[in-house]
Amino acid sequence: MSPADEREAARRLAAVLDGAEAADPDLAATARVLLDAAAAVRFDVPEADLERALERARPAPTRPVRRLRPAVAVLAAAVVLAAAILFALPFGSGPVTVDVQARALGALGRQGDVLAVAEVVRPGPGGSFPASLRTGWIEVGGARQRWTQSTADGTIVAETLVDQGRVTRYDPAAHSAVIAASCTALASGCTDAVDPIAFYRRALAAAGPLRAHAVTRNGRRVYQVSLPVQRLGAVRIVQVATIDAATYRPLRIAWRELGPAGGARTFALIVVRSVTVNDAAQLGPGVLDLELPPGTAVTQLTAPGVPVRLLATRRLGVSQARALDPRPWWLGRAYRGHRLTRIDLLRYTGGTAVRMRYGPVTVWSYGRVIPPPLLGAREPAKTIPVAGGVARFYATRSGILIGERSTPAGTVAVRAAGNGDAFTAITKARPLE
Amino acid sequence: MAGDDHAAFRRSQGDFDALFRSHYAEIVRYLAARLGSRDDAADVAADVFVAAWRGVPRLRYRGRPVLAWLYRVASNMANDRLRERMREPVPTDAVSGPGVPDAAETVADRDALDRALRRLPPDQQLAVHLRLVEGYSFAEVGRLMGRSAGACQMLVLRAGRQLRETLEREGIHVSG
Repeated sequence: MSPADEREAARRLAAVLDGAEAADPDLAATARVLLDAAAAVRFDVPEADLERALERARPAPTRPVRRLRPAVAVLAAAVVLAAAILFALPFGSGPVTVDVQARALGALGRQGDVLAVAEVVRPGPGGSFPASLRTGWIEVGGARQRWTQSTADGTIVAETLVDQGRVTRYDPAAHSAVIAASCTALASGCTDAVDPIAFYRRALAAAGPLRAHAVTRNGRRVYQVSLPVQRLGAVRIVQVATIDAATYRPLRIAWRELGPAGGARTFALIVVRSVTVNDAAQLGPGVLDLELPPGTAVTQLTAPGVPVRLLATRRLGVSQARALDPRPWWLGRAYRGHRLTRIDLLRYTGGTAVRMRYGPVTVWSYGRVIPPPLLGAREPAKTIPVAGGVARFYATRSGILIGERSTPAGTVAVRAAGNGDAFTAITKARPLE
Repeated sequence: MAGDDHAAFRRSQGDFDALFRSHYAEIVRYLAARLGSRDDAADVAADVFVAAWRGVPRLRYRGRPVLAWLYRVASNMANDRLRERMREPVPTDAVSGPGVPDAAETVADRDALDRALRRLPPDQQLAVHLRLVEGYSFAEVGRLMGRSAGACQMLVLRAGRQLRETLEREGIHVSG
């Protein structure tokens, strides 16, 4: 193979790894082995392990004394003198710096308390997902969070319970629920499966002293602090919190995604409407439980971290697909001028999926195993009411838009090139009749 | 943009805790893949940060983040550890795999994959790790490795082919 052919093969493989369909079986097999190898060595490092390692590795705070040049020494002495004068002056008007961390953490209750929270989650600049309202309960220092997510008009689109990392998401419109052993098992990722206040509190608890001075914003005295980087699934997030200087409760939290070079962009803004601290003993039973209504169709997702390997692909005709149980969803024999060109039954380790191709649009129906091409959201999913339920939209790492909705038998997902295409297709998808 | 990167580079030079919290987990994962043991990886990772931190103040910004330096130190330390192991062989049952909880039907394949991954040349391992385990784009992988994105794509292609060859030698056929 010539160097040019090699470069072209490498480029095509990169595209497949970014989520493009592989036309060439050899390339598909190479991509598959790479993805399996990566999945086999991907694991989470618990925060407690990280903190212990940091304690051991942290260098001593004293730095070696350097010899100062005379001019620098004079300048340093002048600065020290000026600082001394400033602090010696009674009622000095310079900014007072305080350690915000302990107070902010204390303002969010103690072990055993339960926080009642209400917050609005908005997209960052350039973002497109609609704002949603979350109201819920968070166990302080515990492992349970439960919240209700609704749209601006008050329609409830999801009830979520996180208990010891296990996520249960109930879709009342579809009368179905998804249960995942961890948020990383969800196709829409972890940013959509954590309450922002709980996430903020966790970052505060992990942070050391955060020194800041109060500033006035919109007539209110506030502190603004950046919390240490936290990992949420595949995303590294820095939270920039605006904290009320009187109550030390958060008013606003910006989620900034950190790139490898340290650059960051804001992708979600959380406006905190209220946080109240409650004694757990005074609350009614069940505020931190999610009891699924009778008859809810439940899909238990494959445990995260288990490599999902494609074992076999079988091409089906329409009548064969119709005979499957559960019956897959489709867009009819043609969709927007594109004929249904291919139906595949894909058997993965742990489950099956059905894929239907209509030109640039692909429809997937799956149960407990999420097909790898649909994985990898980086931002909170956009949840939008559609006829007969709600649809969630998210982008894969390579920017391909996925629309998904829960069905009694699992999930139907649509891969399309643009927002409008995905929205239209997911609203048109229906069980194969 | 370059100014932002430079500022981030300077910040990383001054805050050990932030550097550690940002990158410890990925360095542990990288070392686990290289060494085949999470415990060894955690031990070496702490040393990586301590050693890297000594050199960090002298680093000059050349368009690459401090993370690139961390990976370089981690790679060198992994090489040292592997050389030590070759001098003092460890019984194979003492080496715990870095992978996921056991699932009977996948253990054999997963072990074979782990072994095959460890046999890759270090630069191919690093490219695979950065792109497919950590999820950096090829442009970002290029910056971290000091190569072009195309060169990193080529490393990943070669890694994929070599993995397949190694697996096929062990009787495991991979289809797409």
